[in-house]
Amino acid sequence: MNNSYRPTRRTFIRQAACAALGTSGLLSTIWDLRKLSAATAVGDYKALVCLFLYGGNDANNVLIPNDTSFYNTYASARGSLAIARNSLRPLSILQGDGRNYGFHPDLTSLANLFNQGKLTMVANVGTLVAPTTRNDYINGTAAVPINLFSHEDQSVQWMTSVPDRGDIRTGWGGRAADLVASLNSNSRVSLALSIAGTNTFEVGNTVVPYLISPDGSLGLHGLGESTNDQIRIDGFKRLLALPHNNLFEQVYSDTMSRSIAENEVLSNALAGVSVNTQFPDTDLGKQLAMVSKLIAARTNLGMQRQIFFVAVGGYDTHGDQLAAQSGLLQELSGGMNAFYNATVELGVEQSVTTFTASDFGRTLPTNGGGSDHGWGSHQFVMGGSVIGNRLYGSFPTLAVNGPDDTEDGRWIPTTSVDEFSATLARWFGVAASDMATVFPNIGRFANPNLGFLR
Amino acid sequence: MLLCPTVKRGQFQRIVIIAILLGTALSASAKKKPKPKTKLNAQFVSQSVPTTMVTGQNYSVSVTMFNSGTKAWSPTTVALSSQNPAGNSTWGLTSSGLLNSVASGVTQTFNFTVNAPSTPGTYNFQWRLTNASTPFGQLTQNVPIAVATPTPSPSPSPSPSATPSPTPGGNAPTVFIAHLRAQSDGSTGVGTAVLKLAADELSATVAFNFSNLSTPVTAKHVHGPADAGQSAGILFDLDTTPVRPDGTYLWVFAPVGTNSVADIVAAIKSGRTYFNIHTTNNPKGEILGFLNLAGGNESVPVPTPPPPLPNGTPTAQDAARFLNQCTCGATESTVQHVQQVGFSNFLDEQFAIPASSNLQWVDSHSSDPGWSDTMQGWWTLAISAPDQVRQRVAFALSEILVTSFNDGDLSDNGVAMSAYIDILSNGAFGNYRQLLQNVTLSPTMGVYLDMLGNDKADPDSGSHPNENYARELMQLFSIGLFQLNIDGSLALDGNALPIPTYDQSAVEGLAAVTTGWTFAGQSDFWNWNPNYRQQMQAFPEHHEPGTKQILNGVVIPANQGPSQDLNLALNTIFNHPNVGRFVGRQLIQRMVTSNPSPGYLYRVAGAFDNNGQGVRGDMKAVIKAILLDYDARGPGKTGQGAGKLREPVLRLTHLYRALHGQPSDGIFSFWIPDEFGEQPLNSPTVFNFFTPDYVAPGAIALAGLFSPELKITTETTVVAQANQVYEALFWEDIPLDLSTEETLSNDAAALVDLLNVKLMNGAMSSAMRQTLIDTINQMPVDDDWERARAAVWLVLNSPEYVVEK
Repeated sequence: MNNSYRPTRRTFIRQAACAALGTSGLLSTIWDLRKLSAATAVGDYKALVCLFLYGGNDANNVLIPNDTSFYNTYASARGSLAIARNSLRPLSILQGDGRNYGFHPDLTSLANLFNQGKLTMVANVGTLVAPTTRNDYINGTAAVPINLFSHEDQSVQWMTSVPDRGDIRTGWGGRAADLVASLNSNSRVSLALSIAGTNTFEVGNTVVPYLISPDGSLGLHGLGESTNDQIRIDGFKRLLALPHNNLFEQVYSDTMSRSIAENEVLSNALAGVSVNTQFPDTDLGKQLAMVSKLIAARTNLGMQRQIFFVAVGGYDTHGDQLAAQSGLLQELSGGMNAFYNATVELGVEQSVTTFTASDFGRTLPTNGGGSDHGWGSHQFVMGGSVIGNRLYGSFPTLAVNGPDDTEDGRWIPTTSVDEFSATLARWFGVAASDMATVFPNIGRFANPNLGFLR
Repeated sequence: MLLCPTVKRGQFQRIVIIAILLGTALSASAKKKPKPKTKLNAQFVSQSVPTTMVTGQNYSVSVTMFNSGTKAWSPTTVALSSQNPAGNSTWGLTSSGLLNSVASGVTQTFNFTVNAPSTPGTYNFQWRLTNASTPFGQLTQNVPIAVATPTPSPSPSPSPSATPSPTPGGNAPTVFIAHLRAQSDGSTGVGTAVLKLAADELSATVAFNFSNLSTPVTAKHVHGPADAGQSAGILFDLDTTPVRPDGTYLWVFAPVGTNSVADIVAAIKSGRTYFNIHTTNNPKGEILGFLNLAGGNESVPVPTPPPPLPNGTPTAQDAARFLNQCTCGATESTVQHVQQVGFSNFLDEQFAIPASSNLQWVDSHSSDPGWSDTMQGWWTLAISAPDQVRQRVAFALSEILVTSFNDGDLSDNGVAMSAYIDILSNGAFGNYRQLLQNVTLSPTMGVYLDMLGNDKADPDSGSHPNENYARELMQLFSIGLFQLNIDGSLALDGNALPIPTYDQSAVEGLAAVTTGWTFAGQSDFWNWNPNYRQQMQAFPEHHEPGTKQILNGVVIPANQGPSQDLNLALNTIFNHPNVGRFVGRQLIQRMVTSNPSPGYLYRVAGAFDNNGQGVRGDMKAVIKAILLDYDARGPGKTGQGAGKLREPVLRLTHLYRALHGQPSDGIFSFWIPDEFGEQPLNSPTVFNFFTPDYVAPGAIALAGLFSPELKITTETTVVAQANQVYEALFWEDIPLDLSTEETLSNDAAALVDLLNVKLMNGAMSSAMRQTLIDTINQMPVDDDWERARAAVWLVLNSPEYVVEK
């Protein structure tokens, strides 16, 4: 009865809803005035992998205090959501805030990677218009991101890194890609590849992301088969090439034509590579397995820079959180661990950096069975270039109405998405002089480089 | 404990610096690289400075620079120095110094006070870093500042009640807003222009947006002085003024022709200037609006009525276009029927047909219905049920009032999703207020958005009511995030900003309202025996007892009980003026066009507000307003943004309806891969497969168009869709009737002409027709099977078919 059903991954990602004022965008305007100036050496290779956890991951239960009194504070505040202390996966932290922490018990592999210095966390990161204190927030004197606590807006703002504008259509990954695209001069395929459908993160002013399924790129049925099939497909190409006054027709035609051409390039490139690392048979495992193949095919594809987007949904744990998050974190830990191993197999572990992002964190108190939409949250960074065995950012005071709280156990971020992302972008090769192009608000924040990458 | 983020970042910075030092030390010792020579450099980040000043006054300004070099800026030698010309003392100082060293990669803001010159005029404000007086790095962006003598009298205001709230210090600009609407026939353009008149009345800042224009923008101006309905010359030409980084234009007033600066200011303040945008097809202007003082509640112009539609028998093309908008696909027999009875009577007939029940269908096909049963029932009813308009409207509603199999608890729950789609099909022709209530009390929605089992706050555990349903009920199902004007455009406040419809406290209040509900037939609130066939029941002892403040400041009294609280809350939401505008727009998008004109939205929202007999929320009136409107029934649209993409699901239903799919057991069952992009009742999130406001980057964004379905139009989905059509035609697991196509196939032109009528409402271009004929003619003339299928495949994947106009 149910053999044909499998849970759909969240392929279709929402984008900025508020098309308010200002069609002439800030970033496109700046763009016209600038020259490319990516600071990179020819011959190197770097890839950024954005792993988006749709729904708002409850990181309060990912990075958990592991000192008696701080753990007790955590456990009493979380109530029925608290994770047992003896089940935590201890973390070996050489430098941090002087306290001990553990990972959620389903993050065994990621705890191992942490202890090997290949993975770290940045605490309490979130969308910020400018540095914001609790007093600013409570008194309403601080500008806050548009539509805080709304999935649609916050997930897109994580991708744009411009939370005070609703009309930004490009993501910071795409804007960084614009700057480095010239390094891939031989490539006929976009350097921004998504295994998880459309997303704002990879949309640049000039770079258009190319979407691939976990099974590879998709070709038209009948391609390379009978003469009649060839006649049909050739006729189709001519149909697509006709001029279209209607812009929807034009975009559909362009998308189909691009797909037909890129499928040819990718099929040829992927045919020549193999990755032996075993990936878990999960949605995320399949996506990351395809990313590893695309990295293995980098030379065939003519790529010196690549940006990947993968995503998992289901993190909106308003109810039945303990069970739901357990399954999600197992998938996350297994998939990320296999992916790290694959980069070691390919000899590119220092050239590939994977980071997580999510709509927002969640409330510290429970609503009974789960938690509600929050704000600041902790994020993973993984790869051979991570400066490991330490925690970054500032872990929040776990108290409702405490210094980091809005009012209901939703943390006011102490590190901005801009700072977190600019650190990644700098490693990727965006020059300091280009930072303000990619992150127009970066000048408002203290740390354009948080230092978690070599 | 740490007290403020600044302190935390300081601590954090030390950690980072240690980390960097360690890393550098390690790599340096390992590689023995020579130390690179350090270099000074600087990047301009931003600045804050008034663009107008009063002679002799002091102003606080700030300039932010980024250390993009490899060397720290020393406080003893590095300073921000005046430029243009270098070293000038126009502003009372020549440089602003540093208190501390600024490391490489760090941003520094220089805050200082300037003193405006004593002589009126326009002066440059520009700076650059210097090291021992030698300039380095980027210049700041030059700002021409208009300096004027103080205005002796207080600034007059046309209407005291509409005075914008001044900020302390009286430096607030006065804001004027123009609602840009079509000035030429046939345009569906809409836009907003904002003019902020500086307090000193020496300059203004102008910004604008637009959407839905016919063709690319060629020019934009401010004109005046003129009264409404009159025209006048250009006062400010935006095309010759550089756009500033924030997308605005600075207008430093200067006499224009016979108009002095005082005349210009007087014209602005009396609402006698207008903004217009010209486009390729409308060189005399496409959209226009007078700039009126913003009060926060000013009304947009009432759209002019459209031309009358012709009476008489619809043509076959018109009938097919109508049926593709309001059913799951036109067929030869329904086209003939609509031609016989007319559009309105056809809708009345459809309104009278009882709903086909998906739950009944799955119950009669399975003792334990799961995902595949509900899906088979959905496709079978959509393709073959007689209540076609109801099925189509219910599908549209399922994309607004979203629940989905894509949820842990609902993933294989056929009863839950079949019962839910029945709520939508039963409510498709009822009242939206009742539909909102039925959706709210649906256990399927209760599970999907967590209202089911939502308990009152527990002070001991610190738990609070779940906000999920409360938020989405307002954001997605009824009123949206921002207040809308009568024509669906965004309402703006006195500062030209959108006005939120609710705040977090209203979400929390509504969350409290939605407590105390669980499955029907339970003896205990926590003892769940899932029952998806009946509405949820209330447990008053689990309902938040106190007062609750919801939308618009409405306070729900304490101790009313769950049903009464919900009733009051739903009435409050339903009566918000946004509902018809917000929901009406999405129904138009699902059926007719992605970019409804302001007039179309106004007429449809008006039908929602009042069906003609004083009833609000009558869905029959809304559906008739959408489908019988000039914008749906008038001449086919040829503009660059006309129509919408057919949803992938509806391309399949149309295929099987038009080509008479006949499964041997009467059940439409097929496997749709994820890559197809859309599958009914399987939205990835509560935000549907796409949002109504999605704007594809590139040409669509530049033309100011919304393009919801382009969200699922990707390199992957377009090919998967083409392959799904291929499998339907060439694998034919469900038999089709292609006998007429095969009979005609030795005459390529006749075959293509048949398909034009049958599948494309007769709207195929001659270029497409010729391409198809040439292609079919390359195939063997006696291969009727292949010729017929290739021709149908090409039509069903052609850009002209995929975009329904």
